[in-house]
Amino acid sequence: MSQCENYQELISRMVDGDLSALEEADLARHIETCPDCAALFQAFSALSSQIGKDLEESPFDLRDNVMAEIHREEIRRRNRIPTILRSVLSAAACVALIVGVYLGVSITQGKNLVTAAYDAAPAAAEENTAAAEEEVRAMPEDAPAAAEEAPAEEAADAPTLQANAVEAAPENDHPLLGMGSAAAAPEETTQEETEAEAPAEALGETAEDEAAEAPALEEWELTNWDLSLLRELLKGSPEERSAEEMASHAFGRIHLQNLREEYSVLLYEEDGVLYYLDPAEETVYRSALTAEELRAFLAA
Amino acid sequence: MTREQELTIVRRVQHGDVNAFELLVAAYEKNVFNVALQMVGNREDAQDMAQEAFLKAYNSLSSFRGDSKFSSWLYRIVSNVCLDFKRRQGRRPSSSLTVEDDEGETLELDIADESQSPEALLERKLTREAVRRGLQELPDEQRQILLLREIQGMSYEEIGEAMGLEEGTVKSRIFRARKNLCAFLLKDGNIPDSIASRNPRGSDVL
Repeated sequence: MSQCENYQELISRMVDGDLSALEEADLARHIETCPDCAALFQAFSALSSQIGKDLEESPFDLRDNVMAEIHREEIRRRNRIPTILRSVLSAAACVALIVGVYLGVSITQGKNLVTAAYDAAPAAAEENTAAAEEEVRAMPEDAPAAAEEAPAEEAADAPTLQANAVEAAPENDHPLLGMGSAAAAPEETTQEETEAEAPAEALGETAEDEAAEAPALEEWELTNWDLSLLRELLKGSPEERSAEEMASHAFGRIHLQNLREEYSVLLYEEDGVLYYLDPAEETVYRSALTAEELRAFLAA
Repeated sequence: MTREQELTIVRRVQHGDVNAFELLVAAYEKNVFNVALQMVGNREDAQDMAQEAFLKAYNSLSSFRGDSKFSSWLYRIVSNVCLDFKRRQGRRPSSSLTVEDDEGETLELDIADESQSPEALLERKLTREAVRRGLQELPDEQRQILLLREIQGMSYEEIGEAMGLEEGTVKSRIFRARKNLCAFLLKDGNIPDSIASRNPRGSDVL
């Protein structure tokens, strides 16, 4: 069977699609007649699919940790606030956030405390923002990450804290349908899981998904994406026009989903320009990308 | 993500758009994490490795010129981070197995046992855990290259680019990695006695 040694590496290459049609045909002929090589081919193929499948999900905080560290590094590079003062300020903010969350957890103590937590957290975020330089405009993106790491375990938190946000929600009429959002509500209970605390300004209120609507929209799913990431991709600037005006130009929708939240972003196109409706701010934005570029990106 | 998409985002980051880097993290975190996981064997360390790799990539982004795909460059970084980690842990980079240079082995897969088809036999061997164990047994460079091929789906050319190797070396290293992994899997756990005893040359190929 020593001639098979010549074939063995070819078998490995065949599994990787590295052989020409001629080489592959020749090898296939050999495999038909040689049980050992047939077994090797089976083994290599099975191995290949086994290693590549069932990939584990990456840890939910991996991305946040990386970006948080990067922002910290950037601040260190540009910040003129003396190190000691800065760490005192951020420590204070952290304490305020933690206290706020702790208060929020004591649901039995009544709504007063919950509201207090709801207020305390934004205050902490304000402090944080005010204290640092403008690069820390990036920090509010951190605050949600830090704030949400703690409450991640307190799932019971979400519904209670949501009490405030949900009350406000019915006020927001569905832009497309121009009618009450009652229709949208039942379907979107999952979206109410969104933590509406401190980063109230960053995340905004729970997004209203469009349950029923207009002619077939193209739908895309992005898992493990959040709204800030999509905003980053689309690089939009606010547009004067309202969602109602734009409604007839809607062509698609992007569904964002990660462990913490779910959003639906409506896409419009007019005269080759891409617009989108930011569900958190309910504002139409004009994107720096074209619809075609976005499609290409989503298809990849 | 295509090469153009990568480049666009990389340029944005290089010009000071820090947040755009998150797009790259999002695109590759799953694969980077899984490569690290297979290299170091547990989730906690793998997460540290993956995070460190992304940070290293960010901090040396100015030296990335775009002659290779960003992803290739990134996987090289995470592989090296893991290799360094293992070295610090005291494990020698190349295990004592002589498989690296050994060309003379023939892999014995005796399928003459009528009681089970090769498929059934393989299936029993190829549980996820068994494969993970097997991967840990490989010499680091073989494991590294096999993971780049199987998890990242990188082409031979991309792997060569990422690791600074000739394509021929890539091919033969992948082949040897597969061969050794199969041999380990056969040895691991229960080889039916009927097969082991029937094989006159013995089933050891390492």
